[in-house]
Amino acid sequence: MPIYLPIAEISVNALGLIALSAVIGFIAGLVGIGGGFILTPSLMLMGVPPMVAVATSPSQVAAASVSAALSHFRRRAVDVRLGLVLSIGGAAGTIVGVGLLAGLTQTGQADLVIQLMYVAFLTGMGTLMTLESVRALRYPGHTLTPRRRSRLQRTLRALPLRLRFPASGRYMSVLPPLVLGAVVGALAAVIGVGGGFLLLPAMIYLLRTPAKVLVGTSLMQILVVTALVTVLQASINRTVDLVLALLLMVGGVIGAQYGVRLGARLRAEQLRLVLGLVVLATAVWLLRDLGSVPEQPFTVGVVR
Amino acid sequence: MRAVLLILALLGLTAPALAQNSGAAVRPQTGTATSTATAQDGLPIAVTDERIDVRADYRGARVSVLAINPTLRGRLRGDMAVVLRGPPQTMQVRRKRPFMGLWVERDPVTFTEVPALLYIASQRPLRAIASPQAVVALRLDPLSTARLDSPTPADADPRAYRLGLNRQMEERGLYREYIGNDVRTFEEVAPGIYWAHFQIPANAPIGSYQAQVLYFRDGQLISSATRPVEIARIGVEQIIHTQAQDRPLLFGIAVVLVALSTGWLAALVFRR
Repeated sequence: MPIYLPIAEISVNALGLIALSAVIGFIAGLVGIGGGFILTPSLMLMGVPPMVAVATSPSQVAAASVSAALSHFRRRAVDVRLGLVLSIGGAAGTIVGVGLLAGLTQTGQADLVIQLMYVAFLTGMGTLMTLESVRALRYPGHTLTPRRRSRLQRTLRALPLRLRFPASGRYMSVLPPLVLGAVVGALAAVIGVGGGFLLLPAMIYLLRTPAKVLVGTSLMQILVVTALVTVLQASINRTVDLVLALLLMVGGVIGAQYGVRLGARLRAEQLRLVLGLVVLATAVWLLRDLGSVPEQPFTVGVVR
Repeated sequence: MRAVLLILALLGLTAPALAQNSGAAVRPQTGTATSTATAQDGLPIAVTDERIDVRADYRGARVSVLAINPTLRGRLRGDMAVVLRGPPQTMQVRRKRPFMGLWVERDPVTFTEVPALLYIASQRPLRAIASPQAVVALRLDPLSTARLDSPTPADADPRAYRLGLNRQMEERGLYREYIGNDVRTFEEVAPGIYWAHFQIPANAPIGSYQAQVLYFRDGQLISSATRPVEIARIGVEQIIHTQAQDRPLLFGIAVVLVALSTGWLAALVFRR
């Protein structure tokens, strides 16, 4: 069933797109991630212009995180104050990111920067996921707890502007969550991902957020950032495709529901290992693409 | 529909006063060509679709153009060519250069008046029926049609940029030349009467296209006629695009609301 995307200006197979987003949503639900980092490059491979893919994916991540965020709110498993600080940082990062993308488009470097950032963070994340799952498989039942008196923690404690976060039981500077939120916001804007893969480990290791509010608080930040990215991309770069977004949402939310259910019954470590290796392979493939002699010595783009 | 058009066009041939002289439909961009190139003297032309609607199920469109040799009733002389031309675009061409082990796009060069699409159909190759001057004046050679609008880097050949642009457009299926007699592309239905069938791909931009019939004799353009072909969004496609362009902020908020309600609905449906 072909459908014409009004902003991307290409014709795509609607059922194929829903199936793709359902599979990605399923994997995302299974492993407990947003899935934006698989979705955005897949859209580019399908022929969606990179700028449209980057701007439209976050709305799907927003749709996928709503239900989970709501249920965490109901169970009071959210540190609202920490979530707000992260979101303020996220808003700043988002604005910078969208502006950066607009500037890069004018100099013609947007595609290269998007690709390079994908290589960098797919490599990082793939390595992290692989190592973590290998460790979890070798030492079952062993969970990582951050060391209390590391040098990093001492440095963080010396920072000014401290604030009490009762829900997390922490008294800490607002600077680390602000900066962390900003980085995640910028990533969401430039490469079209939710940023949960970065936010969760950073919250564990840097902010030492307790497990009971960890996921809920990160979901709150991801929701705010992806919603804001969508509004900004639409109003500044005009690259959000509503029809594409709808197709992605429908597939994504359904896939995620089944993924979460199956994920509860499977060993997450093995899935994580496979996914980590797939992510690493993608990074290598992308890098090879950037480094090999191009088939076409020229690229062409329409100036609007 | 084709049969009706054929009859109409033949009528036009016998009664030139009735023929649709489409001189008024010539778009400004052809005005830059020389006076011989814009000669309009009632050459018959008919187009199956002057307006192509882009709906949600748009997958490209097929446009057929009827061309009739004006010497039909006597001894057939000269050659016919049919052109479908997309709206002029400004395009940036960048070359890929190695930079720290990576291939980086650099040195952008801007071209204006790049036809978004250029299809040319004729029985014999264009070079054989039109003089080089006529080809340039009529802007039929994709390589000389685009106008260079910025300086090229000192160490680069401007022609290489043009070739790069051309190759990309060919690869996207937007520049094509159809030569010979083929039922699917350029068909001679009777001596001197031709149908040119063009398949416009879905990735061709939306805008004002034009179909042109050209009659050449001894390499010179004797007469020509032009009809507009409008590709336009309609219905939901039109509404979404207009809103996204005219009210970008509200549009963005609307997308977010759709996302939130979709997620919320899914949670309701799947909760047991």
